[in-house]
Amino acid sequence: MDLEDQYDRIFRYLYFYFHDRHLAEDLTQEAFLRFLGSRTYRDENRQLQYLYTIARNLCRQYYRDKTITYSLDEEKDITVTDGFENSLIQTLSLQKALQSLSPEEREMIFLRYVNDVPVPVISGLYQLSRFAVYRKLKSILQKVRVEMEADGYE
Amino acid sequence: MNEERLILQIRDLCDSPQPENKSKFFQYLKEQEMMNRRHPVISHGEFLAGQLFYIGKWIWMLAGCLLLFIVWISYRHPGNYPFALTPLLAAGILLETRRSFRWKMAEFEHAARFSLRSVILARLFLLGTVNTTGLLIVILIVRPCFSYSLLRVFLYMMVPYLTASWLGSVYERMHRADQGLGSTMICILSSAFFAAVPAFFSWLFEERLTVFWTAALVLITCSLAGNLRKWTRNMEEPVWN
Amino acid sequence: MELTADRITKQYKNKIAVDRMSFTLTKGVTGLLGANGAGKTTLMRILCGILVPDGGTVTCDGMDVETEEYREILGYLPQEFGYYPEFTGRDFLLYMSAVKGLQKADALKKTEELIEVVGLKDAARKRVRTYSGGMKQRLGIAQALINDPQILIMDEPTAGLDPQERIRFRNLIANIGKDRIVLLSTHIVSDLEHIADKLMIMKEGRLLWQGEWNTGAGDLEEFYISRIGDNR
Repeated sequence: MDLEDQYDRIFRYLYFYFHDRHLAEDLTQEAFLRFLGSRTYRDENRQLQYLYTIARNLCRQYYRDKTITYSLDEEKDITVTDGFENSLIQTLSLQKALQSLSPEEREMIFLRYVNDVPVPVISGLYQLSRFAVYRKLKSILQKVRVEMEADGYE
Repeated sequence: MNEERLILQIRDLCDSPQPENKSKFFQYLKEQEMMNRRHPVISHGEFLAGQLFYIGKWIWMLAGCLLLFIVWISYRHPGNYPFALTPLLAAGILLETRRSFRWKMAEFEHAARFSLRSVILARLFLLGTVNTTGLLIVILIVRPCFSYSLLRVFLYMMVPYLTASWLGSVYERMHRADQGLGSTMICILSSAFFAAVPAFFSWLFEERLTVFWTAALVLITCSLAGNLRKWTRNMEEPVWN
Repeated sequence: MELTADRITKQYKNKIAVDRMSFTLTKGVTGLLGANGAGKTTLMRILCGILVPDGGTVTCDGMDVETEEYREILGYLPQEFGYYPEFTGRDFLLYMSAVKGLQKADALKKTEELIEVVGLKDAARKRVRTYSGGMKQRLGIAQALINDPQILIMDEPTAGLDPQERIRFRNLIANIGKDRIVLLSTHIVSDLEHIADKLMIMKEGRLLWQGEWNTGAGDLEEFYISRIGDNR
């Protein structure tokens, strides 16, 4: 596995969630240290799945910790939003369509089409069969398209 | 809008800036020697070659002596009796597969990377290949001693050998952890049986029955292969129950 | 690094040896205490992938117990073991290195290193047949360590060791346990007193108690007996 290449992708994945460069990079490095600190399968897909699992757990942990801090300190929350919401408005209609998806659906689309994660890895991450992943991806894309057409975009 | 364009748009939308500290981070990983934590491991081929030296010396000697004995007997008494010796060749192979259990090394091997299964398979493969090759060479050597064609000598030699291998491996598959010498007994009994055959049923060695022997060879080879497959799949687990 | 057992169960014909045990092992030395027949050996065999449980799973950082990769980072010392009759101590270690997949150069290096560590230098080229019980046990310990395991599982490792050897073993394990998962089983409580960070107490296939143990907490033996007694 090309670690340097995966570094960029994990960074993009975390940036997609937090939209904070520094936070995303901190967590990327944390994920890599954990990944390298434990030995795992020789198989590349299994390794990749493990790396994404670590990154995803870090995300969740971060969300959880932040919620606690917020409720205790009553400080202004560090806005944690996912990438689609805050990115520059390029295609308003596409953005709206993506926004209508569930977070899991958005993540799946991101992993497959933006980060080029192989389908077997996605199927491992979501505990779905490969076939189910293919079908799900198709149906999500279809949903996006329908949503955009309803918005008057051809 | 087609799918490709949609995907391209999504990609554009999710573009991220470049990470800033990447090269520093990888520099750090290299300094801490964290990039390659996995020890290099030997390949299956190297493992197999290594196992060759751990097969008991007396097993090789037994096989060697037996093959020489077959040659000698064929020259001295080229009746139908030399054929009855080949099942004993299988006994050595089968005995070697239970060595791990006999010397209580099985648990060690089972928990190691190349597992007990690889160890047993390596032994089966190495001894099986060497013994069978040895037998084939012997067949070529002794062929002039017999009045039979090469094909018939081959059949008369191989059928007893493979029968014993098949029956012995069925026994081994079913009674793995026993201390007993069951499979050796099976080989000896097969040997006795094939020694008795020419005395009572000498007509079996007539030329017209060559087809029958060929069919027997094919059948037994298939049974042996099938049994080995079953054995391989389930070589380890029930041992400890 | 985490070794997770999830509801593992193993039943023999008329007896449940391990009954729906769940736990997580982390870095450090964990002591597994229990009387003979409590199911310790069965549990350890399951953790090593030697026995397949009737139910439940064992994983380490997402790796299944029956995979090659898992066994690659595993070191195991069984309770009872033998050796091939022609082996010297050194042959034994080289053989185990080969089965564990070590490359020749690594195997030679680690063998020499461990012969030294377990104090078998003078006996290394002698037949294992001539070894005393304690020497044989130390050889077993050496083979468990030869692949530099991240998970070390030892079943009654101090059996047959004399008091001096026990002290050496304890120091060795305390050192190894700093950054690895170590699980030791024993029915001799005093073996664990100074090295175990955590304890698991087993009775009739179930986990009676598990938790941190520090030497300040009183007498381990008393604690153990009270735990075993409570649940009668």
